[in-house]
Amino acid sequence: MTKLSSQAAAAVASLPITYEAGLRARVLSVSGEVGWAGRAAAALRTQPESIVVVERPVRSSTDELVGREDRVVIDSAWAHNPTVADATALLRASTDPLVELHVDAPEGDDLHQWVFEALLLLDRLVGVAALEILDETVDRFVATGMTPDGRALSVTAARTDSFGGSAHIRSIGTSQTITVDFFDPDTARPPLLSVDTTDQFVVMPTAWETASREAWRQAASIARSSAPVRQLDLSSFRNQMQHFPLH
Amino acid sequence: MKASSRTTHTPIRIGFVGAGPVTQAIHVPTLRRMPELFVVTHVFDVNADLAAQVAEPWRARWSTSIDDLLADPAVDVVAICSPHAFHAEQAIAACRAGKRAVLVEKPFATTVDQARQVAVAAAETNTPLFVGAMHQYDPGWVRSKEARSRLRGVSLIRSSIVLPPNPVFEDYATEVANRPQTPAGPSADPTEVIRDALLGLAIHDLPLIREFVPAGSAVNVLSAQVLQTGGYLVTLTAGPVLVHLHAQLPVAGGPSWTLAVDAPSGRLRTTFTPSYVHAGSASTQVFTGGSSRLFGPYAPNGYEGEWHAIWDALNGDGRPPALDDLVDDLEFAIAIADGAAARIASTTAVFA
Repeated sequence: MTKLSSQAAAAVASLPITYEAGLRARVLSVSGEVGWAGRAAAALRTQPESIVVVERPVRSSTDELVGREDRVVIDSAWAHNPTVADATALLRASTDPLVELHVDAPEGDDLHQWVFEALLLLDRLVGVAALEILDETVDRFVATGMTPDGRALSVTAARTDSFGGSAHIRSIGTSQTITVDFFDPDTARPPLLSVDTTDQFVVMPTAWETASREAWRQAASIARSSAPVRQLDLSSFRNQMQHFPLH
Repeated sequence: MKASSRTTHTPIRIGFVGAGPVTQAIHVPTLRRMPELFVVTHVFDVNADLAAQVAEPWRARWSTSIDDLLADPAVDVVAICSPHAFHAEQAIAACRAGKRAVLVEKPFATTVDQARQVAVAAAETNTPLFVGAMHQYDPGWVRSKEARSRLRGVSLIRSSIVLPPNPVFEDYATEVANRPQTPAGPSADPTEVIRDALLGLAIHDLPLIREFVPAGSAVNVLSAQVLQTGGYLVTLTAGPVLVHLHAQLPVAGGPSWTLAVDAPSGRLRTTFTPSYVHAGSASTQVFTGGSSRLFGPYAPNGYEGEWHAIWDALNGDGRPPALDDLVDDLEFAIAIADGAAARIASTTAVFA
């Protein structure tokens, strides 16, 4: 591995059995700063089994990685959180007419990067077929859109001095409301997933697990596998780049 | 609240214009909790049976003519709880009738011209005018005033109202007589639907939102959608502030009524109780400077706050709302409702 960010180093250090000595050299990390796709493509030419793009990759072209989707894991804020699987099953089974996303970003951070991270999450949860940005500044963001199955999307975001980054999704219908809250991705604070109906309010079990650890587990799995493992990360990244390109 | 003065006066006599669910489930239970301050003396409704039924427990007079109520010397304060379209005309009549004060449900007019006419009538007759905007009087909101004044440079405000059908909460407040039938199916005209929804529902929080908008700011509706299952999604700018209004109803799950204000300097989150049900106050959490303060929930609710404000104003312990503020609040709401309707008309987009 190349030199790791402290966050990535912490994730790997917390997986000492998964990342036994023999595996470490077979998984490379690439910083998500500008030019990350080129660096990842170059790194893949040195024959690692998998690449983890860390530090929340900035929005940029990934053309240099076409055909390498099965080798690239993007360590994004929430998309690899294990709660995503349960939430996705519930949200995709619903026919609620509106899905809301609100993103809180810490003051001083790039709001748009947090919005993009949340869109990567939303893409996993319900999909994003269209997005129209209505207003955006360094402090706020509002968009409307649509899911692939025709549900309305509402996306808002704001920067405040009071929050870690967090993403809040709510799907509201006439028979139920599904809510899932993802908190500061640098912590293991568990997401809160609930289903509210006429008869009951069910809080689903979630895990004290970070998305980063899951991303690194996935990279290890790729490295150990003899066959290509389908990865959603790059395709999802490209999809959301189309909806939310850099100006 | 000036509790001491409220023990030394005779009760103020109330006449209700309209005896529907708002009177039955909101105001009557509220006044029942303040017998030393208020008594209902007259109930008017076009439905004689309903007027008589609501008046009976108070041994109050009832009538099917508003003129009878306005001419009744046993009515000090007129509470107007009729359909929206009648509010302005009836408020003007109540002021001209020489009553001590008028409480009119929101919206107190449906056009800006009407609102100004009401304000003129109140000013010329020196009649204190109150609008039944319970969130403005909610202790969970009122007591956060100093803390929320520290939010500078507000960038985004979100109002979200997700509610089961109103009768659910009316039934938690009283046993409603002669409940009006809800019209079946959505209106054919989405511009009317969204205008009615904003002036009937969003209006609860629009005066609260206006507090964060610089005076004189123009309203520009960026997007408006009618949700097919009932509700709206509206995004607008009011000067430098971006406002996102959402409502969805009826829903099967629990109610959720929130107001969120975000600024680089901090944030505010208020959770309101549903309308009708008397469940105490809202709670407001204000985060500034790295710490947070929580206001509420308190036992009194916003409905009690409205009536306490009337009592205080009529007994020299408080001042009624400034008429200019009431007109400005309504002008803000109508600008949003009209802007949303125009946006709908230009797109005719009704989302599935």
